[in-house]
Amino acid sequence: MHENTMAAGFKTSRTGIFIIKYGIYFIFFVMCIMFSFSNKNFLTVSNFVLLLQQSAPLMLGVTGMTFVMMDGGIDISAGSNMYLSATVCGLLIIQLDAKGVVINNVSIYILIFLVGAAIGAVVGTINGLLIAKAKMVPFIVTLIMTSIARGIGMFITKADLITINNLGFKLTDKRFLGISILIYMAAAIMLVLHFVLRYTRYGIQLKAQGNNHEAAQKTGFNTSRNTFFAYIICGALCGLAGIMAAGSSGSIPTSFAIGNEFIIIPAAVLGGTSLFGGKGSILPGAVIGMMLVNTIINGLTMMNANPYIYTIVSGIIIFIAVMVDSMNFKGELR
Amino acid sequence: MTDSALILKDIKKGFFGVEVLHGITVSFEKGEVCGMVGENGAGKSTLMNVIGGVFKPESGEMTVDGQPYNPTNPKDATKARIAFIHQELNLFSNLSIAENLYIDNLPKTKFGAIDYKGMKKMTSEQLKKFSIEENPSTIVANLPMGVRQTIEIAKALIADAKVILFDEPTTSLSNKEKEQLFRTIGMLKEQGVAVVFISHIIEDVFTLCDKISILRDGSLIKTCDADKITKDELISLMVGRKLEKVYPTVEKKIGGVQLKINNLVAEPVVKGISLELHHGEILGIFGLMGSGRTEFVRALYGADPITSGSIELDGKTYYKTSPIDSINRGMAFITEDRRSEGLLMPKPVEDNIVLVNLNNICNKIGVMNKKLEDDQSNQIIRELSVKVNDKKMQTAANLSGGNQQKLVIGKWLLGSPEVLIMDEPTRGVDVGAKYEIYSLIQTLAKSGSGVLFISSEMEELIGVCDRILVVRNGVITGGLHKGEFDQKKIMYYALEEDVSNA
Amino acid sequence: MKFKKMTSSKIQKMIADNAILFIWGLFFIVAVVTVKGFATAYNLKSYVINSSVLLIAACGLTFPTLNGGIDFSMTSIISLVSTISAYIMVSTSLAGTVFAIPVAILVSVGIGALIGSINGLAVSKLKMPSFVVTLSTMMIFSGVAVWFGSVFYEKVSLSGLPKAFTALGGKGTFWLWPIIVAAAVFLFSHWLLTRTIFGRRIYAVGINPKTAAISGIPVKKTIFQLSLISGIFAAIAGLVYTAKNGAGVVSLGDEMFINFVGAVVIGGTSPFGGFGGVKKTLYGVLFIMLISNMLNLLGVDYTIYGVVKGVCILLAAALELITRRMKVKAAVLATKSYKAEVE
Repeated sequence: MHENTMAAGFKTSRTGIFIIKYGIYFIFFVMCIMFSFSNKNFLTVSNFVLLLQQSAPLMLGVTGMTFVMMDGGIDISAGSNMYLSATVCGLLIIQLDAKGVVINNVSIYILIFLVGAAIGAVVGTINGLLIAKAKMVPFIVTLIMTSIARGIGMFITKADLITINNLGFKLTDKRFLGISILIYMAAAIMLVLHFVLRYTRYGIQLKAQGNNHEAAQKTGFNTSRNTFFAYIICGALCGLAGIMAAGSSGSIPTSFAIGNEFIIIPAAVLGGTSLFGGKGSILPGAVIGMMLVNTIINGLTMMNANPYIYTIVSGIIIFIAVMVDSMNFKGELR
Repeated sequence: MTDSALILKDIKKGFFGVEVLHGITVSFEKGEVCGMVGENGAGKSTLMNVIGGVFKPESGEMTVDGQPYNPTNPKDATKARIAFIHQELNLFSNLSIAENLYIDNLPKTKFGAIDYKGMKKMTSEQLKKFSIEENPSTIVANLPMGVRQTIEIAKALIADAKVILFDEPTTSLSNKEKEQLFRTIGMLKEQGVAVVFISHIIEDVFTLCDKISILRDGSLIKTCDADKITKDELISLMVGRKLEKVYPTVEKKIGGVQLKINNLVAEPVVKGISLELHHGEILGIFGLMGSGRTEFVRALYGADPITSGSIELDGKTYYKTSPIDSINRGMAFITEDRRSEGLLMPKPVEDNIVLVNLNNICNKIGVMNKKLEDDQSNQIIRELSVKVNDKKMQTAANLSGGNQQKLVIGKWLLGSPEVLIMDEPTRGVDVGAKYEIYSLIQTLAKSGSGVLFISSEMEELIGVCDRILVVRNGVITGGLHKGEFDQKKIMYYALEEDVSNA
Repeated sequence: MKFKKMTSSKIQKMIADNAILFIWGLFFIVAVVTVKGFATAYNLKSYVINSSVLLIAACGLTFPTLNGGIDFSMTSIISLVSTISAYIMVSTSLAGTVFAIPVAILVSVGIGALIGSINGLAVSKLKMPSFVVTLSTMMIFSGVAVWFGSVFYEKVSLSGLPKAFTALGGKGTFWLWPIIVAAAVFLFSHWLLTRTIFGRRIYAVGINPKTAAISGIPVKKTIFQLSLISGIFAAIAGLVYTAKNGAGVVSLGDEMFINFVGAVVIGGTSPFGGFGGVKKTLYGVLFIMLISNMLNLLGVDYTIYGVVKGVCILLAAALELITRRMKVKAAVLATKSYKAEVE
């Protein structure tokens, strides 16, 4: 077996990898110190809990993305998926309200959440069919789906902003024992999915095939079906995340969730999920990754950083996170 | 006679009209280790693939435990409780030992969740059986080859395999791991498993096996008890073919030293090879699987890194090289696998022919000279008799094996190389094209080029080369000049046996 | 008999290669006949100009795509170039001098080359996947563009570009400049890919980097060059877009990427690498701009544009995949029958 005929141009020593891997956490630590100096509210428990609450929807997105990435794929349509689900749910709320239904009601809320997840699942199904069955390239398919999903969302809302807070769909004031319902929802769903990934045959097969596709097929796994389901799961979770986020922010502008996939994917990578497949976790990976990213975003907000700082910092984080990921992987240059 | 675990009767198999297995009849008994020996190309892997359901035999029958066995795919083999331990293991390096062992059959708890605790316990028991002191949760990526192989064996046992076939299992094992493997196989014997041990390491075969079957050129020459045959007889039977084929001859002069290699080391396989290649000489390199001969030439050419040692070409010495440097120095490298490294399969024949010579058919700013391209590709097609109708429309994939190989050789010839390295140049090539390739090699040598001819086919090396060197375990174990060519001696060198016994 | 087979397969190949052009032609005729306002001088002029500008960037994107990669950073290069070139031409001491435009152009191309080089090094040396590398550079440099604007501009755009420059975008009486620039870029790319050794290397690496490496092709250098080209072409596109826009805008490139990818994929260059070229991209550009134009004139809601474009792109990509599999199957069949005849 001749590995890497293309000559190793970049030799990394063990210490080198160690420095970069843990360097990220060191930089994070330094950043936190910076943040706490510029805003004394940063290192408070209440801020932390608030952060957790704010992270909840996207954490679901990271959870879904973990499945897709475990298989070596990617879903760039996450943000638009969130938008489409949010708009459909938003319009549903408006319709129900117009018919006199009381929105602020447990069963209505559950219905809305289910609709959100279902819309997301539809998007995921289309992605899954094209990627798993038609064997198309994941990032091209999901890139195109971004436009399609957002276009549909904008079309059905006539490119208008929808407000749902005033109609009774508000998640930010719903608490149980002082903790937001968002955290409970996220925790419950993540627990279930962690179970699926770790403790079911499906989860282990997905992890195996992400590492060694041929051996997986030889062993008899239905690899395309496993991939297909991964995209549906990711889609459903992003859809749910969409309506959860909308329920927090209160309104859905046409720019809702735009670019969120570029927060979700680096969060997944920082949490230990590899873009190359076969590696990752929901607990604690998705939680840590999302908290890391959101802490940085939160810190920047507290510093009143200019908007462009966010994209620059995000870009640098993504680059470093994936650079470390790539150093552990041997493959073809694309 | 007890119920044989697996019986093959008169199995015949062919490809593209050429028969490669000529009626193999053999039976494998429960609790017995049967060794299968033969050179590369003797038909061992084809036979394995027939048993494994990858290929369907043209005629003949197989029985497992008295029942007829006609696999149409590898899963049928698994269902019939036949397991294979190949060189490329079917393990998932990102999963633990336990997960790999039970991947097909994950134990569940009452709630339907995967029972990791139970799995760990069962795995510990299995590992104990094989005297492996590893934590069941260890990730396979962190394990040495020997342990990984044992896990694969354990997997087969868990699936209750009745016949286990090992394909060259000891090539990548340390001595300690080898001993462990032998102990394991001993265990399998006690459990009544029929073991087939395919190997070219004669001492292992004699240590381990109860019976030995010898394959040569697709026929089963002899099966007998291991204690009823001597090593010498065995080797004689492995190579004892009548050299009947005719090879082209040419009058030529062998000149001075062209290429001198000093103790070339390329980790991990090449341990230190030195040789001299003369102008006009065809130097054959023979070695069995795992000997390091391909790794050696790849390092020589610069496709893989050199750890230490030097190369001296026409008086100039260097220590590091790359494909581009080698080509500039006048070296050509025809790789072992033309499909993955020799050709651009979906591209037209013409594009493939000019691929190495691109620099020479463009001008200073890089514009390609289409006329030169046309002329040169026509020249090669003509000179090598490449059978192609439309060199611009037909792709490399559209050609037959022999023509593909001629295409690869042709593309290198355009650069008028001084040193040609050819790794298995006649593999998968029909008889007619083989002869053409031999003539070509002779012609090249006559014009003064030095040729390194690597092959597992002893016969063609004997027929074509001026000298043959034998590689084993990353070093050269012996060499013979034209007058002294002897199949047995070559095999002795290849098996690292004492040649004086030959 | 063999010769007849060959000619019919040549015809088949010609049809397959130019399929998108034929489809475009059909749509064009349909548009002329059924869409009000299509066949006017004004509309056709703007169609040609829009297509030209898109062609510049799409040609650039074709290069990394030929290696199975992508370049998201092109949009940020466009934004950054727009921001900085406008500043040079309007607010520096060079403004109004004869040096303003050339310096702006040089600096812009330099920016494109720099970002392209960063992408190229990361992909070829660090072995990172191109979509992530270019994604991160896109984020970093689009942020840099906004930063630059916030520091050096008062608002997010800067107008007052010299007339000589906006002529590049088709403003003014001689409106052929964008077409000339696009044609130059296109012809250069086409020449590079089909007539030079660089083109040969690119295709070889895109199909099989192992064979390419053994055959003496500098694989890493070639991959690097692909990113460099897409970076430089993005810069040129940025200049023309800015000229057309009449002002430097810090977020000019946002939302453009779907058209770039759409043009390349619809044109038929395979996202897996090794097959395709700028001629195909040209067809893709013409097609995608035609669809946009038609939808616009038909008064279709602009939100649907994205959906329609997206569906077209997916269909095209699926089609490319299917036809390639068909070609492979046909090749295998041809080999079998060829073998049967010959051996």
